[in-house]
Amino acid sequence: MSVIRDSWGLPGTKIGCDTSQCGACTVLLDGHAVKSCTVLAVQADGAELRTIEGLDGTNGLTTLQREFHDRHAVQCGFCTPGMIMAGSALLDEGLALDEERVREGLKGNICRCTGYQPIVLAVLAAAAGVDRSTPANAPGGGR
Amino acid sequence: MIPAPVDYVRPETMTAAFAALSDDDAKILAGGHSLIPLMKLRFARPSVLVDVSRVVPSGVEATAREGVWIGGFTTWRDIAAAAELTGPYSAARACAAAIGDVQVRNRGTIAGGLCHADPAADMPAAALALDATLVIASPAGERLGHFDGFVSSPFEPHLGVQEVLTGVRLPAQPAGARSAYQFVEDAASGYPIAGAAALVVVADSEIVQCRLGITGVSVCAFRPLATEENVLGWGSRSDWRDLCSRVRSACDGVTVMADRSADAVYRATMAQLVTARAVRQAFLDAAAAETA
Repeated sequence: MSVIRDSWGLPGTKIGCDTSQCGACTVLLDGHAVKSCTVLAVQADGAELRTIEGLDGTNGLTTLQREFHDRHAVQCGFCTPGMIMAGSALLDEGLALDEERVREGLKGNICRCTGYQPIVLAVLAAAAGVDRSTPANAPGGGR
Repeated sequence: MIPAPVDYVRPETMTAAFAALSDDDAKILAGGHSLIPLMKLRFARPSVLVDVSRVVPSGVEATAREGVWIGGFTTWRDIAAAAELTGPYSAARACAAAIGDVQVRNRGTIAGGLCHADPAADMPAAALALDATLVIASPAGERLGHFDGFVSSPFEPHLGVQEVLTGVRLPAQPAGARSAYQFVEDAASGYPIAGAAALVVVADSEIVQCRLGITGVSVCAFRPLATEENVLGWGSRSDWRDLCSRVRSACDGVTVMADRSADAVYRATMAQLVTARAVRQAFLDAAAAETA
C-alpha cells in the first residue's frame, strides 16, 4: 500500500486500520480483491494490480461507480474506493447476486457512515445494469 | 503502522528455505494475513521473512483410496470452491468459506492458517473431525503428523525451527460418511465464538460412527471424545431435544475461554449448540446419501 500511495502517487487507495480489518485499501491483484495493507509489494511481484484509479468505464465511470454516485452510496467517502473495488471484484465473478451475496462479498469492507444499505443497493443496481443497457430496458430504469 | 525492520527472502528450493529458516527468529511467510498485521502492531518482530510461495505447493487432489491432499499454499478461496471437498469432506470447505472475508480468503493459506494456531480459527475444527494428517518437510526429510496434537497452546504449533508444513491430507472415509461445520460468529471480529465440525457415518438411519472437532472455545481446538460416543445411536427415530442432551458433554474437561463477547457459560452453551447443529446437518446429509 505504501508503494501504491507514496511511491506511485496514487492516493485513491486509502489507509484505514492498516491491519486488514477495514478494507479501505482494497485493490485487485490478478483480478481478486485483496487488502493492500497486508500484501508486501514484493509478494505482488509479477501480478497484475488494479487500483481505483484503474477503473475505466464510459464517461470515465464504471456502471458501479455511477450507481454509487446516483444512489448516494457515499457519506464521508473514505471507505468508498475499497467498497467499489470489492464490489467490482464481486461483479466480475459474474454470479447472480442477491442482497445476501452482496453483503457477504462486502463483509471485508467497513463503512461507519451509511449503514451499508445504499452501498448494497448500488452493487445490486450495477449487477442489474448489465440488463439495463439492452434496448428493452433502455428508458433509464427510473433513476 | 510500520513494522520493525525485517529481511525478506523468497527461496526457489526447499533446501534454500531450510537454510533461511536456520535463523531462530526467522518466520515463514505464507499468505501473511495473520503475520503482517501482527508485525505492524509489533507483536511479531521476526528477523527475516521466508516467503515460501515458490516452494510450498498449492492445489487440491482427490484419490479414492487415499482421500484428499491439499497443498499447503492453497488459499481459503480455492478450498472453499474445491469440488474434491464435497461429500465426506464438506466440513473442510465450509470452514474455509467461514474464514474472515473475501479479501482474507483470497490470500490466506491453509498451511499458514494452521501454523498460526489461532484458538479461534475455523479450520482446526474440520482438521480434527476429518482426522487430518500434516505433511511436514525438514532437512531430515518428510514426516507425517496428526493434526490432533499439533497445537496445544495458542499460536504455538509443534513445528521445529526448520520445519515447513507443505500439505494436509484428509484420509479416505467410509462410503456414505458426511461432514458439516456450524458456528456462531462474534459479530465484531468475525471469529467463531464456538465452531464445531462433525463427521458421521450412518447405518439403518442412525449414527454409527462420529468424529467431532470444536474450535474457538478453548486454548486450542479439541475433540470432545465423550460426546462422540454419546451421539452414537441418534438418528431418524430421535429428536432434536435428544441430540441436545447428548452433546451436553461437549466442553467437559476443557477450560472454556471468556472474553468481552462471550463469557464461559455462554460460550460453552454455544459450543453445545453448534455441535448439535453440525451433527444434525452431517446426519441429514449422510441419511440422504444412504437412501440415494
